[in-house]
Amino acid sequence: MKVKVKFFATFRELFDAEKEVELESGSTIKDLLHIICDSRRRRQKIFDRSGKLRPYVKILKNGRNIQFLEGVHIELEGEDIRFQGGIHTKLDDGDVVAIFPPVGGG
Amino acid sequence: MIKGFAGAIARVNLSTGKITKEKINEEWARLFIGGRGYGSKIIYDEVNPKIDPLALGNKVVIATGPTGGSNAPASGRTMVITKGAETGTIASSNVGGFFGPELKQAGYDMVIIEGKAEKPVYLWIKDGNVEIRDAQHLGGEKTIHIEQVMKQETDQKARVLNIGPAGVKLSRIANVMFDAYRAAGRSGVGTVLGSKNFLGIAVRGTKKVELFDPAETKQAVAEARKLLKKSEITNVNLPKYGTAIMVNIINERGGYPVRNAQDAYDADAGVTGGEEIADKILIKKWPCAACPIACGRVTEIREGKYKGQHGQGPEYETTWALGLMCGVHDLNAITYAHYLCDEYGLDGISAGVTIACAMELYEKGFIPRKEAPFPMNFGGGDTLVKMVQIMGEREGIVGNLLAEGSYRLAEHYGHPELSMSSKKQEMPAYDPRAFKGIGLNYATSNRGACHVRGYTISQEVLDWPWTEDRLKYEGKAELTKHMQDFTAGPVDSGGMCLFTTFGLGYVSDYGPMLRAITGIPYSDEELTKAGERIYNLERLFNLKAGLTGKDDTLPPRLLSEPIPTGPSKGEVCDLSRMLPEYYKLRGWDKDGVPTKERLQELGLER
Repeated sequence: MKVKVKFFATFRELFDAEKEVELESGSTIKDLLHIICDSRRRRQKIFDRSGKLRPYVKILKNGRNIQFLEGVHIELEGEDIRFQGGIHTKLDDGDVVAIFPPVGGG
Repeated sequence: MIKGFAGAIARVNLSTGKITKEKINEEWARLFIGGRGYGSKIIYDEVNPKIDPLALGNKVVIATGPTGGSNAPASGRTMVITKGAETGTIASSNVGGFFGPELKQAGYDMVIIEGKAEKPVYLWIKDGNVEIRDAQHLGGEKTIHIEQVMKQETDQKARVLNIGPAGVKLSRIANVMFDAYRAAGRSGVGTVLGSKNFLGIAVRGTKKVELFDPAETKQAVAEARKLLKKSEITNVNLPKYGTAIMVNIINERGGYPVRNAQDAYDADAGVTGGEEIADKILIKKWPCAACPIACGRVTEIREGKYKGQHGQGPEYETTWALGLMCGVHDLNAITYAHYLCDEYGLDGISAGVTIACAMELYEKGFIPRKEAPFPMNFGGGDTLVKMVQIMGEREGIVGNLLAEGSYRLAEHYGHPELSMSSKKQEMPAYDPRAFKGIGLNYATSNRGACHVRGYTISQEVLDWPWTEDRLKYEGKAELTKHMQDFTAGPVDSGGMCLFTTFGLGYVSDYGPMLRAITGIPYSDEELTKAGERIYNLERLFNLKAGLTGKDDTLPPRLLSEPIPTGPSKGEVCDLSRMLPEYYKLRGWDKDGVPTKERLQELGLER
């Protein structure tokens, strides 16, 4: 399946502003991120040393904060993943994933 | 003896020419803090809520907060407070720049303007001395030129506030420009000054503000600045990209109002956003007084028809209002239109949303072709620029109506429902259908549709200081009241910039600075209560002015027309799921009138 991933603000210094990515069906946001983070710099920007999503990485799937999406498992392989911001959200063909650093404005 | 305050208010009667110096009321400083709260108390006590805003009896308070002139981060804010010409509500318009601290150093916390001058005048304040000066030679000039002349005639180091041609011509959406490029924009506060033949104030002050506990202040300020440095919002992305970084943030969520809010998503919105501005037109960032954030944009147009034009901006609100809200994608045209709004002294948000309204009225045939001096379809950058020009000049039938704001324009052509406004003030750049909480805030803000009075976007979008689901109605009443009271209290009345809240998330982050600077032992509860008190005082003024609970609403489009496309497709903003609970939490009856009990708790009377 194909998914569009967009990066904004300071993330554009390290990632393409917009890119289409091919994924196997049943892939999750975490899988997508592992494909995109194809260098150590990129990996370090997005994940901490234990492999968890850094709290300042804000992810939308089709405009929705992944923390609020349905079907987020509470436990996966014995691990409490509630605080991983919905990173195990499944993706579908045609999804748009938008990734932002912390921003504010008026 | 409290400190932080300069301790004095200059009262200027333009009818008699009399200038008096009054002392700051320390009890009011305790109950209303300063800035928005204290200034609104003056208006509440002295202005008949029922009068026409342009009548002689209206007054204008230019009010700083107790933190102004200190090194508290982004503390130089000033409020322009009056009965608003656009809304008829109490109106307090917030602005940065450098004027506020200079006024404090000149020995005044506030200036009250009352009466009307026979001929145009401005005020020159220098280290305690106040004099009225002739300004007849400045009447027809643009704002930036007026600012330069006022400095030439007084002191090159003076700080200036002034209105422009829009205020002089009594456009209902006229603003007050501070330090040439910052704006006290909304609600027609500039119009009221125009009605008094009052062009502006130049101030020079050399006496440093006295702090109650300098050591404690230094510590508290250091803590606050540390928090701002720790936040990637205030320390990285705002200085780097300015406020317009929000374009993609909001558009990707499908809540970016497009073509007079007929839709809320545009695939190409990004070409008008912060990343593009940094790439194409940015010269450098610009801070206000004592500000470590520097969200201001010094810019210049480098190509095309408007090449060579320069100024500051656009901001998020204006790149939207003059951009996709009018269907315009041309950043250069948007930027030039923003510069023109500054030069005329027009509120950028209201100007853009009024033009968007005119475009829809035109496309639907409600504006007769013969009355429109040129085609006014959505999408044209050059059209946009021309419409700002005829609005600023009040030229022709349509130009004259544009200057009145979207509500009066739409009402004239028989379709008031096409004005995207609450209490006649134009909505800002967040679609209530995609962010339910900001919809409640637009509907209940005391000065009409406004985002900064209760910025629920913080939680609904920025995940700061906690996260809320933007599409849920539950919890939004409490969130909105919380943000409204928090903002009204320590932030707006303390004299701090709203953007400090992106690093300082709670009242407890402001308390230490306010206590150390003033010596007033405000507890955090008292500061929050002060915010609630101020909010209710404003509400009482509005009720006496004739507004009712029925005015706590949104245009029908936002209440019930589902967003047609994009990530928030299908959403509406059902106020009935939030408003009753909001009234209850506020201690108001079902018609939105504060109960005697709640008022007593707050020490207010009806």
